[in-house]
Amino acid sequence: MNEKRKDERMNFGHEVQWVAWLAAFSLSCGSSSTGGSGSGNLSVVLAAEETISDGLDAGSGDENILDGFDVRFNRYIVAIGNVAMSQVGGANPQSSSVLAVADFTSLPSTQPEVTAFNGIATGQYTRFGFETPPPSNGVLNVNGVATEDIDAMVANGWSYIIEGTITQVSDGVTKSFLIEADVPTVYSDCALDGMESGVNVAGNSSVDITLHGDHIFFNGFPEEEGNVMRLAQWLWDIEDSDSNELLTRTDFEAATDVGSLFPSPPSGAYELTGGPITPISNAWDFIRAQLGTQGHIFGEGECEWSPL
Amino acid sequence: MTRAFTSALLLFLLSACGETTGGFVEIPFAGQGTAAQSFTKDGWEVTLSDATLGFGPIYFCATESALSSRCEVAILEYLEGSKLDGLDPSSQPIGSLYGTTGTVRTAFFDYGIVWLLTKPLPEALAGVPEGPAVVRSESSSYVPKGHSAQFAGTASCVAEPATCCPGAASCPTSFAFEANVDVLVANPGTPAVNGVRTSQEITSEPRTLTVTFDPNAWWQSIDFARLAALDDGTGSVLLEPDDPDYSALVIAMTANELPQLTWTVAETEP
Repeated sequence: MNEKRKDERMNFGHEVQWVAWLAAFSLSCGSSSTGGSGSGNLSVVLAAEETISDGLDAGSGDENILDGFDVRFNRYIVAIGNVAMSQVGGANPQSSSVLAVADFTSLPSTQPEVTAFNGIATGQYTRFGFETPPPSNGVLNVNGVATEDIDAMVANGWSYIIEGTITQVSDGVTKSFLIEADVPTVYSDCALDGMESGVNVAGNSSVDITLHGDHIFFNGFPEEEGNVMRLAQWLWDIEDSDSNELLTRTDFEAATDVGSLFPSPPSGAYELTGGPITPISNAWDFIRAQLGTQGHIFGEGECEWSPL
Repeated sequence: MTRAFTSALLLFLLSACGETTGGFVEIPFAGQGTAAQSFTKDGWEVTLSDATLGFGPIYFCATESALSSRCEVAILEYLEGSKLDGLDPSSQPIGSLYGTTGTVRTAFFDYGIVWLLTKPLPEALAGVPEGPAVVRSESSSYVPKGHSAQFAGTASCVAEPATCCPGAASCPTSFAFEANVDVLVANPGTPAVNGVRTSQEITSEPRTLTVTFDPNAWWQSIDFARLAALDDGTGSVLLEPDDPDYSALVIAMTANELPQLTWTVAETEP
């Protein structure tokens, strides 16, 4: 096999290796990614992607659901917090045990603060992460989440309560769904594409933890969201097995025909490799796996994710 | 650029700032199948008779992430395609992994079909079943050639027909099945299987890798009643790409029943 062909293969080509090795050499020989002088403050705030607050529309645009469904969320309650970060080599580690519960459908535009680090060393915190564990009593209630919802999350170990509707635009028929799920996840090494990883602290800085609302409609666990397709036929096809006119965990767990729900290329577009939860034996597994990938920073900054 | 030159330059660069590094390593690796094991599911006794697999390339990364974009530098790699007997439990040499010392945490690989960033279509590599070939999956006259796997087997109803074929007017007592499966990706430049966890410190110490496949487990995800319904009376069924069970096989191969990666310290001759 000739060298040219090898270099074209995937994202691991030798040319890429070369650049990366040189970059690594540069960093190890005197990077600027170390702490600065003086102290600063970092406010950690919450933000919701528009897909949560406004929902998703059927259409052919990049962020539309391509197979003809509108989705709206009535509640999108998440337990989130336990922020941790450090500078290069683990220097100046900072952590917060504050855990908050927020309904991301109605976050105030001022972006509520979960926690803050005050009087810390300035500079780039190259490692930044957070968690979505199940809450415990005394959790910070960010925006008036109903007490009964918080109590239910604590009692059942849920990190998510998501309630919404899916409407088939061809005939206007609507179904309702309720996802009450335990998806304890660690998000780590968050980075905004094209920027140095983590967050920078200089004076009074802030970082927003952004939750996305469209991952359960992704066609896989993609490298980049620009390549993703949003599809909802699978949710529409779930049978209301207990006939309560609400799609719930019982119904999702009963949907075990994953080959029908999530067809692979060439007939379909789903790639279920690389998710945080395996095996994906039913629709509930798929939902939990996708929920475990939707934590970001600064809107679209990707984080590594793994089950907590 | 040759590996030797690359190695020498990296050694120079890293030694210049006080770091130490090992040299390049070559690790022989082999595939291994799992002997056909009859299993019973929903009244059907199923036995595979053929599971010819395409495999490769494979990359090993230091990152724990399942995102290959987080792995700009592969520690080890094998860039070719290879054919394996998935039902043969003996060791089947594939080739050598080349790379450098370091800590491996994840693997990314294809089942013999890759879609290069610079190519308009996926291609089945030379060395895989019926490869090399361009995979024209977008064509309405999709006739696959060059496969990730070729399967054959039989299913026999060993329960009441109502159990084997619920709701069906008729039910074959047995049928033969075949499937040519192409594990494809939706976007070029991405592997078919991402982020398989495997933890190994790669040193200069000789070692080997064995990749063990279990096609029997893949087929346990199949709805054999649905497969039986495809039998038009000839006693044989060919699983097509638009059958849900074709997708179920791909999901099993790429997510739910992944091959096992086993690192072993190589025995040295006395």
